[in-house]
Amino acid sequence: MKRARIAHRGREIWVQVTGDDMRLLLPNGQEIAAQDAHWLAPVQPGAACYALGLNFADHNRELGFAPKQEKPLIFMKGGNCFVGHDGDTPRPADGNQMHPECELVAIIGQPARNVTQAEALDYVSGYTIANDYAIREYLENYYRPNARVKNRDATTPIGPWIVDSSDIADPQALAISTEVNGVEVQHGSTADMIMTAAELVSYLSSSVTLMPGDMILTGTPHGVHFCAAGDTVVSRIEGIGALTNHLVPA
Amino acid sequence: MTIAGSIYGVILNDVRERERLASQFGQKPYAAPPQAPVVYMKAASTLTRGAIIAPPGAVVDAAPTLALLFARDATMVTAQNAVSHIGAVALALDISLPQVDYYRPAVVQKNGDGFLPVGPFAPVTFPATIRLQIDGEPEFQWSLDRLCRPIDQLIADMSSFMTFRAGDILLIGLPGDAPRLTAGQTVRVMAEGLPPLNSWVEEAQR
Repeated sequence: MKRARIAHRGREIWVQVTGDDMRLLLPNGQEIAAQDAHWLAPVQPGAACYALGLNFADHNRELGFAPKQEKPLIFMKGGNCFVGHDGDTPRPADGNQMHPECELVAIIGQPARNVTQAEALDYVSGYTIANDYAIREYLENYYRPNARVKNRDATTPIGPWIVDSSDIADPQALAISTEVNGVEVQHGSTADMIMTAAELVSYLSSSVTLMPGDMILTGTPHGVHFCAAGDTVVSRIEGIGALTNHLVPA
Repeated sequence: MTIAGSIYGVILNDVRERERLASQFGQKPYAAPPQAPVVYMKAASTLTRGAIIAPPGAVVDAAPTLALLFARDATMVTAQNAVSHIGAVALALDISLPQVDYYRPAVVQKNGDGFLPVGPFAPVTFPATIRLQIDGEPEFQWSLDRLCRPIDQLIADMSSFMTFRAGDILLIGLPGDAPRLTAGQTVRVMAEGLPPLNSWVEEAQR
């Protein structure tokens, strides 16, 4: 099943995506056309968001880092970051090194504390797509990647929907790509992640209690492409869908 | 109104700590002193009105601070009107496993269970000094005139690149010389005009 969060008649609601992704089934049994939806980020308010840096060896080499970090590089993101499918992201006038990062997102379904890698995916209820933009001009070497790079308003498009984990046979065998104005700039596979989704759930749960609705953004493959205002950016993951975002001047 | 959003904090907002570390800021891995506020986050699963759960044998940093609860969204606010966006204030104790340096985010160090005791919220007031007792004995105090960025400037500078949303929390800074706690100890945080915060450290069950 696919679940989306939309604004409808003055309310935020979760809907079921049906009919080859063309129809949305509302909680009251009504249906609307997906193309008429006002998409929201499929994010639970107050959920914690853990994001991985440098989790693909090819991307790490591209940025001049060692292929594998000593310890996983994890940062967190606030609720202000998220924006739904077909939404706008501000592209600052001085952000000439702003680049999209397509990432598989694992959503936690039940409290996870000290879970093993073997059981970790039992604690994941679904998957979605995020585009975790970075603006390299704003990098500083304190808690890097710092908040001015990674915690900006509406710079993490996410969605369009959450796919149940039972519908994803192997989260480590999905094609993952980004198109800017129709041209592919990122292309990889979740098979190339340094730490798998299961390893990340297990690792985090050894220190932290992961709660239902919490998210793990699992990192991006190589393909740094700097974007301009006016660009349309589509982030795509096999078996989940395509997430569209519009860069607007700021 | 209650905590209904994201929990933010800042490090390196203590004048004394900055002075102590000044000679390191020009060197690797930092290369330059921090410019923007250095922000971290805590998950809701760290919030507690009871026990701090420490890993077996662990010593934790226990930094008393203020938790500001936003009542209105704050985007690109000025220092002059920053405080009008705050709806309530509470004493808080930021718990962290010790960090070697500040180069990479300290997510696992700062997000253990019960790593953020927060006291009852009160109407907005900013005490001059926060005091901390361990096992009933005065142990530590720090004056908020040690903040590099005072509360109003901190909100303004962070809101220049991110929105604080109503229901978000901001922890205003941590003393660089915060005391440490181990399992079995009780801790009390006090400041004028705010309800005291009581907590204690328990060892995690394996």
